[in-house]
Amino acid sequence: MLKASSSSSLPPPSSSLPSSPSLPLSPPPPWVELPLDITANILQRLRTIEILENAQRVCTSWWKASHDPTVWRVVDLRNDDVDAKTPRMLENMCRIAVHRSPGQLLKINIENFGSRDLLNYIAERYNRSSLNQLI
Amino acid sequence: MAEAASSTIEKNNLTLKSSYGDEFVLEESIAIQSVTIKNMVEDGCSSSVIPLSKVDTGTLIKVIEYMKMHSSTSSNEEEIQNFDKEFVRISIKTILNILEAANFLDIRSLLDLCAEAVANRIKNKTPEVVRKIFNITSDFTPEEEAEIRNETPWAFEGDLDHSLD
Repeated sequence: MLKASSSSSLPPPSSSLPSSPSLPLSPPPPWVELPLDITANILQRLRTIEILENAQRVCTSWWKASHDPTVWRVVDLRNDDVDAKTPRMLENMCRIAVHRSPGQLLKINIENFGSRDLLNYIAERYNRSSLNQLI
Repeated sequence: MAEAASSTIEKNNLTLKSSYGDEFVLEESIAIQSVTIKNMVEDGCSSSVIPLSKVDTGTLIKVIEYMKMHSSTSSNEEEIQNFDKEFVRISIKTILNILEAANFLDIRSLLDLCAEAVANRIKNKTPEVVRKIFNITSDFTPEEEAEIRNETPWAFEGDLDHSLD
C-alpha cells in the first residue's frame, strides 16, 4: 500500500498514518546488539535486587551493561521492598552496588540492615560531604 | 499571493524517507523533536528528502505518530499520558525497533518511554523467562557463570547453593 509512494502523491500528513496493525516492519536486530547505554538505560529502571538476581544473568551483554555506573545511581534495598532476604544477602548486594557505582551514586536506601562494616565500606568510597547527601 | 503561501508550506515541511523508500511529509516543527533531524535542518541539509536508512516504514509511522501527539498543542497532560500508555502496548519486537529508531533519531523522551516499557516486561521474571520473551540465548562461559554464582549465590537457589542459609 505504501510502496513506491512519492511525497507529492501522499495525502496530507494528518491522514498519512494508517492504524493498520500489519505495518511493514524489519525484523528487529537481536537484543544483544543494542548499544550498551540503551541496555543500561533499561536496567537502571529495575530494582537493585532484580538486576543482581535476574537481569544480569540473562546474557553477557546484559551482564556487561549491569556493570555500567549509570545503572547504580540509585540503590534501594529497603527491607519492606524485599521478600525473604536476610540482612547478609542485602549487605552483599549493597556492597556490589556501591562497588559498581564509582562516583555516580546519587541515592542509597539501606533501612534496617546497615552494619558498621557496611557503612565503613561505603564511606571509604565516598567522601563525607557526598555521604551526608546520600544517606 | 498563492506562490507565497505555497513556498511557506514548502519551507515548513520536511520529507522523511524510510529504509523501504516510503516518504512522509511532516511539519518541520514536529520533526525537530528529533535532535538528529534538528541538526540536519540547522546544517541546511533538509532542503530535499531526509533519508532515514535505519528506520523501516512501520517504525517510522509509529515514531511520527508519537511526535505528532507530543507536539500537539490541543492535548493536555493527561491525554499525552494515556497516549504513551497505549503507545507501548505493542509487541516487544516493535518496541525494540522503535528503541533503535529513537536512539538514531535522538528523541530522548521516546527512548525513555520504550526503555520503561521494556523494564516493565523484565520485572519479576526469572532469567529463563526473560530469555524466552526477548529471544535471547544465554552465552556465558562456565567460568563466567561461576563468577556470577559466586557473587550472588542465593540467587541460584533451587540449583544447589544454600551456603548463606
